[in-house]
Amino acid sequence: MLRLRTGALIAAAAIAFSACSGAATAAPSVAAAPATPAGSTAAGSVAPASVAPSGGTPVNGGTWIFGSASDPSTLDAILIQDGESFRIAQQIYETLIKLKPGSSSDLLPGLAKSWDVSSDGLTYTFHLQTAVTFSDGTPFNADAAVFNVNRWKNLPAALQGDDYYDVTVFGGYGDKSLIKSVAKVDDATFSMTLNSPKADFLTAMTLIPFAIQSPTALQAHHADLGSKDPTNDYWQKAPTGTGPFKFSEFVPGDHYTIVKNPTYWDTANAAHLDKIVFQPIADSANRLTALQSGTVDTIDFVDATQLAGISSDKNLQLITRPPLDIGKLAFNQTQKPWNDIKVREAAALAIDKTALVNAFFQNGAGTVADSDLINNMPAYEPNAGVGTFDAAAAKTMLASSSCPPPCAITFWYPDSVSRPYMLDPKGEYEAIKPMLEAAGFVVTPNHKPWHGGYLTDEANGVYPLFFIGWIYDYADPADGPGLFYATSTSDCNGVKETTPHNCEFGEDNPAVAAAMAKAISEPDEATRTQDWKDAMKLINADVPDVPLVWAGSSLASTIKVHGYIPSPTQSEYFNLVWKDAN
Amino acid sequence: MATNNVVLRQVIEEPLKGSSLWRDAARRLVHTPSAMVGLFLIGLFVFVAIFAPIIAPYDPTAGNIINKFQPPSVQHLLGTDLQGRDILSRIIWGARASLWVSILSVTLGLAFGLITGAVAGFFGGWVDFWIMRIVDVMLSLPGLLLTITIVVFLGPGLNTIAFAIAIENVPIFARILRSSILGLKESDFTTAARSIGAKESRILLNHVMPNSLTPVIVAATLALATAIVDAAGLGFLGFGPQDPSTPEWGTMLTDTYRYLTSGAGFTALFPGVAIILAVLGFNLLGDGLRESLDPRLKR
Amino acid sequence: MLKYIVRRLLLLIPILFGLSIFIIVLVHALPGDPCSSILGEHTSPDRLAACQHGLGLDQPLYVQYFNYMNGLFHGNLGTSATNRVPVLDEFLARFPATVELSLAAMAFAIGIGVPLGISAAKRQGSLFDNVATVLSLIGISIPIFFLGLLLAYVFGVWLHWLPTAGRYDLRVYDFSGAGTNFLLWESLVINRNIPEFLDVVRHLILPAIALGTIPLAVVARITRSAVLEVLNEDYVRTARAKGLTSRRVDRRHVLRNAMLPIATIIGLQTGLLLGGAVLTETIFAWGGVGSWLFQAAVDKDFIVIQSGTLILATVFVLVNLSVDVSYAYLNPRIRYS
Repeated sequence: MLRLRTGALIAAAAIAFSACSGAATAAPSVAAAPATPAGSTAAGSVAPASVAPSGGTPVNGGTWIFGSASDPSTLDAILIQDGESFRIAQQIYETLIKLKPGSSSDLLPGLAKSWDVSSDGLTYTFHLQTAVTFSDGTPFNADAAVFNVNRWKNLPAALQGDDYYDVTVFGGYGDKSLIKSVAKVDDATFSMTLNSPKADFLTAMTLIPFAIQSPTALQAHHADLGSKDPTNDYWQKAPTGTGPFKFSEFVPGDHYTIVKNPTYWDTANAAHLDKIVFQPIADSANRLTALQSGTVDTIDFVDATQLAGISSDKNLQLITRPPLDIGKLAFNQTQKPWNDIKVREAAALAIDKTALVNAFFQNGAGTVADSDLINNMPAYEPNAGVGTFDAAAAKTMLASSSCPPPCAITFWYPDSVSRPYMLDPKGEYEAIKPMLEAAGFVVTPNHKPWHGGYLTDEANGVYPLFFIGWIYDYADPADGPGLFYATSTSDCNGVKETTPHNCEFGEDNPAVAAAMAKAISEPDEATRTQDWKDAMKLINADVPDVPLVWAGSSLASTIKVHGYIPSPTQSEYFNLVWKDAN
Repeated sequence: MATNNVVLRQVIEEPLKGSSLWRDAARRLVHTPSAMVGLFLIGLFVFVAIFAPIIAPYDPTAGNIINKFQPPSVQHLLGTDLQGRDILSRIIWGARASLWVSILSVTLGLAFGLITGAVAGFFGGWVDFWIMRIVDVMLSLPGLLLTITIVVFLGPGLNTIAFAIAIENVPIFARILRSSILGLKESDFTTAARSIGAKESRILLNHVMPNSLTPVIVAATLALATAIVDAAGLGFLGFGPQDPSTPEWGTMLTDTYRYLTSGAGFTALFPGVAIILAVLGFNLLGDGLRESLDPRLKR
Repeated sequence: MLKYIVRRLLLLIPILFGLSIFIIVLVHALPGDPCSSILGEHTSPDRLAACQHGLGLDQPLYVQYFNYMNGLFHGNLGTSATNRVPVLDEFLARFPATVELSLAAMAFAIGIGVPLGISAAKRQGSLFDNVATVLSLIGISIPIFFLGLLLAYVFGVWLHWLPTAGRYDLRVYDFSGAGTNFLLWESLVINRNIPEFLDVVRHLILPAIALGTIPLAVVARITRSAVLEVLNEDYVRTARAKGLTSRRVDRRHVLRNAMLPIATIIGLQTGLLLGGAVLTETIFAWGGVGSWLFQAAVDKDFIVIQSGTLILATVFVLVNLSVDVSYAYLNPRIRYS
């Protein structure tokens, strides 16, 4: 039920650069300029950071039971999109470049010891680790890497559409892929050439979907025949990578087991634990019960209502991820009465966010938000929105608008869902309703199951006023507003449009589109940050939404577990984790 | 919902033949203490539902999140909920929603079930065969799936929930009535009516129907109870009334059960108790009816 | 008898056929499709269309139905759209969990329900009878998720007596490589490991009680009324009048004749439980078919809903058939032809 990280990465960037998009905003001239090499050479062969684990000397051995929310959806790396699959893949696979534990932007060498970027920003040469083998015993080398990159570029037809990150990062398959070519230089070196520069290419390479898998295992288990082919049992029976853990057993609905990889190449960072079992428990209250009764050692996605109880329990510890989620109440500016900016402002002023966050995101599960950006991002500027809660001002504003009181509105919220940024959508609706009514709105509620039409309708611009939110894949505005306010040429709400437009929010401001395109294609970081500040000013002036809360998610664990480094992007490395002997 | 099928379907299987006079049955019923307790609980439930506007101390939908989770006090006898609303008032008004869902679902279920069951049972032959095959298909369907599908399809709301529960009951009612009729059709009683030259329609209305009704009455009483539990279960899975401010016990319980383990347990306890008492009332009465209508169960 | 069984099995074909049409129409009439759960928030309409095309959802319904049935005839039950596991694989992995839970729940229900019903019938109208009746009525009046949560809290969190999630202690035991997923069987018969078996049993207790409470109440009631009915029959009175001992009468006449309705209700309940117990499985993280189908319904995973429902309907009909066949042995007066 909790499907995290369905988020798209850099989709807007992909649209802006890719040749396939017919959007008017595609390929601005800036993009053609030579990009400054982004990470020209990483210093030598620095091993992935070995962070000093908490609580004394690590103990080796033991089994760790992890209470997750659901089974993984797939472990064929390139097809992975959801958080549960990310979590497991992160332990059995490795990428060419890694993120520093706990960081959402610092790069570290992974299977590539170092890399060079050509002066035109198009060709990347990776120098690989040597003496690395996959857990099936076959060697990792330039051939294996080239095989994987070619698989990303020419994704087998049976898999096309099942992937997410491949098409969002590289824009398409085959000739439409941003990858122009890939070539082996020698056994420990290969190079990739892109069709056009991409400022965040190296960061994208840290995403676990771009992990290197064993070509032998992929072929032996018919991974390329697609999910409908019964002979394809790659991810259920033999997902094979180079990571510190390797696959052991999968019983759907019951558990997924990985064990220590005895032949892991990076001996300094070998796993402490012998075995990790992921046990899916869908309901958050039941996950906590399982933790308290000792059935599991650690649980993810703790309900905000449970945080206080966990902190006061001396046998438990709370592990909190830095916030990287935004929850908001959004308008569709093409629908009445929200086409009038005064009505949008009135609604924004009417909502007491502090009371809302105190009621639903207590114990630090969230903080009051005033921007689509998270307050730890460089481009964030405080107090950029309409202003703070002011019931009287809201009333005055609505009275002077095109929809004076009683102003009838329909309010949409989703059923059957709880996200870190929207823990209790129904409860939040019930709390906001009287606030809007105090300003002179007459509220009619409506709701649909999250996966039972809500997301589809919402994306198609059917809803005039609705809850939505976003879990960032990494701390970059391109991964947030850059997606929300992007335009498309397809139908919105059944209406065939002739010009590119924004379905979801009806944010069709050419100035915003131009400012965002400029920011996304800007290779220089400082300039890009300034560009995003400018773009956000334009966006905020349109009042496309009411940002409500910045939220993170929390894990809870027995105090026997050490070395867990929470990551805002959930890039968490379990080889660092260890358990007390008893 | 599993509960619904499990409890109701026993009536299909259990041999239950009403042959006593209504007056005798009523006399026996009055002398069954558990049935009288049930009747009292139902009476209380209906009374509260009807006079909710007069009894309830507060507006059940008015609240402010600042006042959330106040423990029981003189102002709020049962405390306040997550939205700072008076729980007692919401339970009182919630009786209306529960009563409405249960009555509507049973009425609809009975109407469809009676028509199909009576037609199948009375005409027999290929009509019976095919109707029963359709009933088989519906009975073999996991009940939850059908209910959820209907609710999702028709959109949320109390009426939709009632309709979905009713549809789930139709095959059960149809079967109960059909088997009662089959049993009676060839009985001495019908033969006697036929031999004196009574018309088929007259036999159906005057003789077969009343005698077939005994198991149906029992099943309907039990169905009223399970409808309330089912609505709660649907709420637990995220399908509640159209406007979530509408007080409804199942949704109240569902919204608050997670606080059982984190301090505000009373908010979940009270609607839970209300559900159990109302359901128990109907079950006690249903049980009493069953015994008093079928004298062989008494000695 | 054989003829009867064959006829019933043949009848299964039109039922499944009707069901397949019914389900596919119903499921496709719903708003939303698997793509919304695959793609998540901020999906562009283009990507939505691409995903729908990939899953063949843009084809007319009859084409989709034909393709689906074509697969069925070739023994292919399809593959989940959301987790890409073949439906049959996932069913075979999960069904043993459901079977063990259902049997444990029924064992609980029968083990307590039948003696309770018999005792209540023999002391009809007594305090014991009334208390038993009221208790069983309370049992069916408690919402099952409320009961499950209370059980988990009291016996798991407070008392630390019993585990509240999963089927065995994953830290200690390892069933990987086991031939079946029937853990009771694997631990007791194959591995002959008594502590392992007891661990599996411990994990079964709470979910079995939560799931078995309603069947317990129902079985107790049916037993009571069936026994009462038999006690009133002439032959029992005759037997008593002949001076046979009470225990002998009970065994030879009462129980034997009361067995029929009891067996019926047990068969029916088992059939229903095998359909999966969504609420119990959700609360106790039990990887059975109920939570699987519910998740599929939430995710609009069409293929899983269609094939899963067909398999479960088949199981239900087969269980009922075996109950009917067992009647013939319980009651020689019934003859099927």
